[in-house]
Amino acid sequence: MDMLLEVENLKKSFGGVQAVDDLSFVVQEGSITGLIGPNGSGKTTCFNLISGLLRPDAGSIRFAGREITSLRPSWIARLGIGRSFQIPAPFTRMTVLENVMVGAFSRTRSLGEASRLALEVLEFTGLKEKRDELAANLTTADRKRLEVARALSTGPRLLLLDEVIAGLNPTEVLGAMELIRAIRARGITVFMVEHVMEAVLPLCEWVIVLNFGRKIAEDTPDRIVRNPAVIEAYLGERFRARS
Amino acid sequence: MELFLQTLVDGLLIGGLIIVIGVGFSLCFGVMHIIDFAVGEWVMLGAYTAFWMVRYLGRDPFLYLPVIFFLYLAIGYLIYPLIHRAVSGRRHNPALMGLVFTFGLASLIKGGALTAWGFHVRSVTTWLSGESLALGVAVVPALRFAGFAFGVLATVAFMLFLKWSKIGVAIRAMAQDRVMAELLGVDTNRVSALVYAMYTGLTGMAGVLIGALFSIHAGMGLKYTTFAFFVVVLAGMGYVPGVIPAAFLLGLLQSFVTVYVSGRYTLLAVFFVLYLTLLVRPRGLLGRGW
Amino acid sequence: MAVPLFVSSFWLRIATEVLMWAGLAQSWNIIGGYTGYLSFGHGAFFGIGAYTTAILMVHAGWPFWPTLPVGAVLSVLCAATIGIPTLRLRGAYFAIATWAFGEAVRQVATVLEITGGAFGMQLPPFLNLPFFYEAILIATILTYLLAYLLLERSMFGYKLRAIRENEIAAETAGVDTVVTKIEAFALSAIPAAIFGGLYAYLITYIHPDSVLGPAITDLMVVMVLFGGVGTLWGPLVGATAIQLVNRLLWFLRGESTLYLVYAGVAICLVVLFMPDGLMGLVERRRVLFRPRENLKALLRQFKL
Repeated sequence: MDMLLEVENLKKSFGGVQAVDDLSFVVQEGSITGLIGPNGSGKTTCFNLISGLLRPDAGSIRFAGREITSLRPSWIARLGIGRSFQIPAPFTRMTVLENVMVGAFSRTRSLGEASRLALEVLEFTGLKEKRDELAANLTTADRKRLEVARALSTGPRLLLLDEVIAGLNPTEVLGAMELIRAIRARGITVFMVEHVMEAVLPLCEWVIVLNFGRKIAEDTPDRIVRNPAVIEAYLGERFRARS
Repeated sequence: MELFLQTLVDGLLIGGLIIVIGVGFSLCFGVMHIIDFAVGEWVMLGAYTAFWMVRYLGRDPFLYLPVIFFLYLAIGYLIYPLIHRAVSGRRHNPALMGLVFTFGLASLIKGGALTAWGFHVRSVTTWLSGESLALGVAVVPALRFAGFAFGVLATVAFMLFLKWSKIGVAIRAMAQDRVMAELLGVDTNRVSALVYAMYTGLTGMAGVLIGALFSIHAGMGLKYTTFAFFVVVLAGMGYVPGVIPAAFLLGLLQSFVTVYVSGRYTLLAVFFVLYLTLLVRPRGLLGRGW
Repeated sequence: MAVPLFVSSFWLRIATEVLMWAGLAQSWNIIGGYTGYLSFGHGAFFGIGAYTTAILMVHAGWPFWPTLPVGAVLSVLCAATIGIPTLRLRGAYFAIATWAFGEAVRQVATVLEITGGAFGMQLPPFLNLPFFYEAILIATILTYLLAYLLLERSMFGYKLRAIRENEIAAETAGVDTVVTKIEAFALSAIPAAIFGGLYAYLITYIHPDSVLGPAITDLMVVMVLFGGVGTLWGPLVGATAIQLVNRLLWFLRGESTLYLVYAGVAICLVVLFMPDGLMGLVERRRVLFRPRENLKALLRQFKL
């Protein structure tokens, strides 16, 4: 497998806080890779750097062999990185279909074609019935789905999912996991930030763990859960609290 | 050379007075993210209030400074809830609605003043009018120096208030992180109202001195709105300490253009520098803006 | 397009004004309503159009029609100059910059020799109201047609609305927001300039207060707000209502600065109590008549 995303020595600080500190990792093409870590460990900052919403202080990001560090977010999106937001950011006074069409504009110059592409994505993500609803009227679960749909509509090779599972009820979690697997089955690489371990562990082939902006481990899920550094930093408290 | 020094001193003196307007205005932006398009109109109202008080009650306009401060403090405190309603609307982009509201407010105040008081140019006389003061090589009208002294004193007092008072701490906390401040029990609505009230109070008071220094007319607000925008953009939006150098720069720009080019081009020069700043250093000269 | 004969010149004048304001309001609506960036100096484009027509006709001896595109091009250039640096920044900067631009243009018109300074300039008189009625009617229809095609029936319009709703999300979904916003601002300057040129020829005597006064931007803003921000027909509804009230006031009180007060009060009241404008009321009414959807929405409230 090829390396689709290569991050090298990435650094970003806010004031005195080092949010991402000398971070390097790769995401394999065709994989589902997880990015986990305690709150404030720099996961979302890392996503914001990759998708171009923040400029790194140092380091480089390469996508499919191409340098994308400090490109504008819209360019990065057009190059093939789709991204969903942790707090859903729909275009509230537009319909579900229109929301997804906006993403499809990067693939076509015709409005009719954009609408056809958007419908296909809506069908795939299970939102087709709600296509004429205003995004403002959607439930939380549907808003998260809409986030994924809009990101998919740009025709990405790599999809960055920022906590699309957290906050869903158990049935919805299963649905979301199924969707993520289906996305990968379409040949789209998935790179996901997630808090819900019950979802990350069965989904991902590879997991990267951050703490205080640094990578403390990366491995397969079954080995990650046995990694002492990870248990110490993150899993420990959670699993101990559960059992 | 003498002219140069005179111009320099004049510019610095005016800059000192402008600081007062800039500090309140910048704080409003820093704390509530509100840009008040009516800023110059508060200056105009302050000047007119002093004019009418002197006309009907006599005595020196400087005596009325505290009265005018509290008057505009109260007016600002009463108006703020309306602004709050505008920026917290549910269906529309709230930040936009706040801008539109203050834009409407500016139009309303200016139109009201033009209608009530017409286009006459008025002036007030103070006990300092006509006096002058030798400052090294430059001879300055005492009034100008008083304006400067007022500006500096009011700014220092305001800064001390922000630094030491309980409300001041709450205000600074809100400017840092509104959500966090709210979680920690700061009554953000009341604090915002107070910030706005203090800003209108200070600006109204500055209006008294501006009115005494220059002339008073209903259209004068435009100039000071421009000045306030200039100062906060050069300072970096929401970065209060940056206001001080920016205000002095404005004073210098204004006095040098007036003396060496022509008074007619002063505002144009201000607009030009404002545009250049937006073009080259949008986060302010110090790069600390929002 | 013939003017009905029974229409007196009085009503024709009012109709002409209403149409012009409807067009001007729509021009503001493109950037302020659809894109969500407030141009508080939009009156400057109107003034630039007016002065371009006046200067070319008076000083260069041009015929009327070719002056209009020149004014439009100049306005587009100015919009790009203001928009390129400031539309990269947050909306507050844009509002400040456009406001400053509007005031700066008025200052320029007041100090320049070629514009006649504060005294203004006299155009070759052409007192033919039906001509202006027709010309402005056509310009307004074209403005609305353009707005319909570009804002309601094209990708461009969807992109603008996406920017208004959530700019970061739009950018992440592949919309080049900076370019799109600059295009929208440049586009919005065109109708304003054209109407400026037509208006200058109509009133034949222009000066900084008449074509660059603060009330022009105020009125565009209030008309769009009152009618409905970011809707196709909102500006038409708002312009009709506000301009008719203005004329009524004019009959009662004469020309006066009260104009600014009314505009200001109207802006504040609309922001506070009717942020979606008249079109918003109509829309909500329509929603009210959809019992099933409303019931569903109501049930969802209980679930949360």
